[in-house]
Amino acid sequence: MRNWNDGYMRWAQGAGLRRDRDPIVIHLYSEFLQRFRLAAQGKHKGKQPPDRLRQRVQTYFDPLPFYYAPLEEQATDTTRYPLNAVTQRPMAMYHSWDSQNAWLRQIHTYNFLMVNRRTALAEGIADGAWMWVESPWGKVRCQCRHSEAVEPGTVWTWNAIGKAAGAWSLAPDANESRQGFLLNHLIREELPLQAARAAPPSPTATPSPARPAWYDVRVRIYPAQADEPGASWPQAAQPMQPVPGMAAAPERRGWMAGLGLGCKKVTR
Amino acid sequence: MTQLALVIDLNVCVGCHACVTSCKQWNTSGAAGPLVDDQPYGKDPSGTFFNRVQTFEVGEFPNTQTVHFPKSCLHCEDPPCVPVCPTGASYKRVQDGIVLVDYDKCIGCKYCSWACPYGAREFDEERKVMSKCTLCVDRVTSTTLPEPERKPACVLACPASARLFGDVHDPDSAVSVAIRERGGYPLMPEWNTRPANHYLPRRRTQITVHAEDLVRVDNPLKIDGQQPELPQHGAGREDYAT
Repeated sequence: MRNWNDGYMRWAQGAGLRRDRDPIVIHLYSEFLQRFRLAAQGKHKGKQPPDRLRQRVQTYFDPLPFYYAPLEEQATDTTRYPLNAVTQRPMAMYHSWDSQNAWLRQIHTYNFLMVNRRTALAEGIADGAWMWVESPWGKVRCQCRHSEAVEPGTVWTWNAIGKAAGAWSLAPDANESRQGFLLNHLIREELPLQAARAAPPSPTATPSPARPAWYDVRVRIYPAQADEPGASWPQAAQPMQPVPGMAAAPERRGWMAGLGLGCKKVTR
Repeated sequence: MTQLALVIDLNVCVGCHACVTSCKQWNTSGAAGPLVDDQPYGKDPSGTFFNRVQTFEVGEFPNTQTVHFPKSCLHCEDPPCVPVCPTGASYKRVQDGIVLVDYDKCIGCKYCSWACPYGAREFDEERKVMSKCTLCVDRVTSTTLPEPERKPACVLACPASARLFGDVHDPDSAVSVAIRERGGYPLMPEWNTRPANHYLPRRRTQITVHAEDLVRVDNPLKIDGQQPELPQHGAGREDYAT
């Protein structure tokens, strides 16, 4: 048999990774999705979707892949919000939430909104200038970085850099809180369904699989005014207070394995 | 004469910084450490890193490249940091060509960082001495580490194998072959520093699709006529729908 990896199939079954020694066929046509659709069409006995969601399930649980504009985009005025906003995790911090780490935070101390140069200049936003990015759900003040490596209709930034003042035991004036920002303020967890306004809100997730639709938000950008403070917005009303009993952060530090701190702690 | 060096493939580096953090992890506890961090949890943190990655864009959209450019001491064959040192702290090892700083002799005058055209030197604010990439001399000359681990920490850490390590004076070494056959080049040769480290250039990637790739002329079902073996215990989980 030449079409499948017989050796792998035998090993995988022997190792308990797979129950059967049958070929792995990628489903372009997904019978699983089709069963949801048949249920929505009333052609499948058993569990039925709520009537208010029947049409949505019938449309989007197509057993074959097809393109459709993201559901949130369909409910957004794309003339007013012409840009897509996306994020990606900094590679240096991949598989780690510890971006308060003394070494990692030197690699990404704060973030910019990466905007194609022509897109930014069309709105009068200079490289490095403070700007606003606004979605139907909220707005954020951040710094602009002109880029030639981003498509003109999309803006992006590193995620998980911005922090509230005092969070993660960083100093209240740490760059993460004064210059860093999160796109979370632009993103709604629920989808505005025009056809079902009376219905309970739907999670902002594509029908299948339940991928959080962070990539579906639409935004517009405009420059910050000259009299605005040079800091990201929103800012926490009060810096987070240190946890009781927590030692003060050192002003200088050097690790030496076996010796611990190579420099004496200095209280700020 | 041996000249140990790094050869860094810019076509492969994706800028993940694994070399940066692994370098600091090894060297802060090694012979050159500790590598101090100033304001580690405050405003504008800055610390000593022997290896850094600079990321920059080239060209205009849509013909753009994002280049991730790892930078560390190039261990020049004619290092300008050595003759300017008033105390002899900055020196080049005869046996393997590694450029080092003797902290016991260094007075922190920073002449060497002015002389280095590559900005490869890192001043230690705690000890007031100059530090720099040691090519992990305490790893590569170790007699206790297992043989495969006697390489710089950055080389071992790189998930893309973008960093090669070896003797650039040995024409048959992996680094010499890579430089010769893949267009390796030194940085700023006009300074006549003759850097030992070399970089391999970015390459244009092209995909050619042949007609026979789209229609399989050797479809196995048409050749041997054998159907795949059926599952042994009824339908498989992955496939029961069909």
